Amino acid sequence: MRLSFFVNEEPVTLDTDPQRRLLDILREDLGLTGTKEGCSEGECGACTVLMDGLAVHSCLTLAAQLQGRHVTTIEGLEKNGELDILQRCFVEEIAIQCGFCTTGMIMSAKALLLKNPDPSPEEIRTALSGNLCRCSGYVQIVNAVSRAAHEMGGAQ
Amino acid sequence: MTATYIPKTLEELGENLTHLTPNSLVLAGGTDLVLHIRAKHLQPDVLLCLSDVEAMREITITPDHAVIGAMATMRQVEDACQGLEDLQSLADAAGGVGSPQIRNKGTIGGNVANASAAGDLPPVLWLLNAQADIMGPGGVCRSIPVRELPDGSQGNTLAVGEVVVRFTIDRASLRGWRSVFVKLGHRSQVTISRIGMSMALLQDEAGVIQDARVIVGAIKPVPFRLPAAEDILRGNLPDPALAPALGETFKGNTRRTYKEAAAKGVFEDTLLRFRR
Repeated sequence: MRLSFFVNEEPVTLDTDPQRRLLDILREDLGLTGTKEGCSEGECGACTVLMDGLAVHSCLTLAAQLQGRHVTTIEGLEKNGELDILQRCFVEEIAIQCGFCTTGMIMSAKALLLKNPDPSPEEIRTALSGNLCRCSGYVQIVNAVSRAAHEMGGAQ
Repeated sequence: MTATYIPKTLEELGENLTHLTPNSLVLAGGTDLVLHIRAKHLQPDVLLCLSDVEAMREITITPDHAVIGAMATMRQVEDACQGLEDLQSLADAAGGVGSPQIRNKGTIGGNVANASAAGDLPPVLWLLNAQADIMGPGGVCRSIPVRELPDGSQGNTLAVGEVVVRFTIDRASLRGWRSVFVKLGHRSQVTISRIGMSMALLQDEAGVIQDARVIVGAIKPVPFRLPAAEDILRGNLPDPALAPALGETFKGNTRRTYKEAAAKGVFEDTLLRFRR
């Protein structure tokens, strides 16, 4: 199929199999390897990207579902060489160990803050409930998202 | 070689449905189907993708009716029904499916048509006497009660070339009723139902239950009604002290004895939701 959609606000057009996964299109066709393949079953959340502003699994999204959609990956958060506040807060709060889950975590957090700029810790945990970290715990991760929300002006 | 159809309108959908065969697949949100395609190396002759049929995403709620497009996502269903006393069970069930990522993509139609024994939406739609509006080849439409959709062996009764396009709930007949759904899983979030308890109560001003409906999912291959529990509820307040007696009504309905004990706790949690 002739697929036209948007990745990180740039129009993308390619000929692809309608059953090809968004995850593979991003990583193999477009070279955007920040999106990670973990379980490939929609359980771990490592492949999370935004589709029309909502967090979705790129491993469970097929090309046939992408026509005209706006996809944002971790590579799309940085602007003019500056990390997104969320990315910086993850670094500064040491909310990263091996880093494999991190991009998915940040994309789920981004989706949350787009909808709710002042989330409670409970709301943050719910928003990240589909993202598994198997290195450590979630305390620093929740702290990083809280801090990002605060720095963005959401938290009063 | 797979032929792929991505209709944008219901008219196009009706035409596309004429091409479906028993080897075809219908793609709604994809949160289950994509897994099956990969795990079982499925090679459909036709893939019908419903995600661009905007009319199937619409949710219209008036005082008398709720019309929910089959391609409405769990998140959209939750947002639309949250706080509506008669439809609260729909918000509860949709809001408890999977993870946020699954709820952003998984659809109410997919959940019902997939007919998993552990599906959370089928018992609630039955509780609310929902009708499923079905479109077949050429755009021919029919309507059946949602309870008639599962075939009893984790499949559905849709004919080849049929898809559910929307669900319709007669809210006028639910006036005064409140409904809730409580799910028991192995953990609090991102969990599959072990018990899916949907309950609707009609209470008088003092809170006494005038009428009750209880539909349970995740116990048998299809949801089932518990008339014995409804009998216990009628004439009483929604008192958690009823939970042990209500839990007894599970006996004989499940081979998993732990669920008989667990049901008491689920009934207690459910009744607490009805306290004013």
